[in-house]
Amino acid sequence: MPTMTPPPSTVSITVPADVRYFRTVRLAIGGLASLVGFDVEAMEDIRIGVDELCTALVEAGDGSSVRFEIAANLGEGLRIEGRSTRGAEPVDPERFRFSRQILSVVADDYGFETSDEAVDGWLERSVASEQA
Amino acid sequence: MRMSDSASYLQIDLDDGPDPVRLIARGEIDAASAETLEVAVVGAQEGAKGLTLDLAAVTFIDSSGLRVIATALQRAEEQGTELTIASPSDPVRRILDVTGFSDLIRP
Repeated sequence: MPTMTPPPSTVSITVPADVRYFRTVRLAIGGLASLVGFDVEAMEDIRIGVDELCTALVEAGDGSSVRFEIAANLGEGLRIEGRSTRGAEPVDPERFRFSRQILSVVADDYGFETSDEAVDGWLERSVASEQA
Repeated sequence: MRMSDSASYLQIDLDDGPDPVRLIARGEIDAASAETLEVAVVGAQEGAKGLTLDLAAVTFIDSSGLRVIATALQRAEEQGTELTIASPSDPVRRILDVTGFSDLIRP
């Protein structure tokens, strides 16, 4: 009988657009990363990657809230998507230079997208990448 | 002198004995605590020949903390003083390495 890959579990987290909540988001997603099967170093990577998503979404947002959807595929990996409502003021891309440097190392892939209404940021990390 | 930010789990102690002065940070440096670090760094750099940031007990640092270090480095260069980072923990060292700050690290 063929083995079927279970569908990913999806967890949603919504926090106020307030830097004091970043640690809460890091802790929650770090716990999920442990459940998925990442080792300690990869969990640290995911925690800092999520923190950088938080920073970008809050700074580019309108100050209301930030919502995360985390698809956790046990034994496989995580995809974390964050969204905030777009703020009126443009953000200097240079402000995110360090964030991008960090994300390029701690995530397998990541990205940001801005529309008229929203700012989206996401990252992916697979368990297999730490074994490569 | 001790500064702390209970909401963000960062504590900073100033050892203002011999120059360069030494700031010893413990905990996590993120967007919530970076301002506490910034205030401590600015105060410590005033009138000092140099500043050593001891990050041995810092378990987390993000881009907000790096911006504080970058600004402190620029300030040190303008003042003709020295800025060094002592004994960073492994997670902090990794982030310093990937963002080009590893030259500041001293044993």
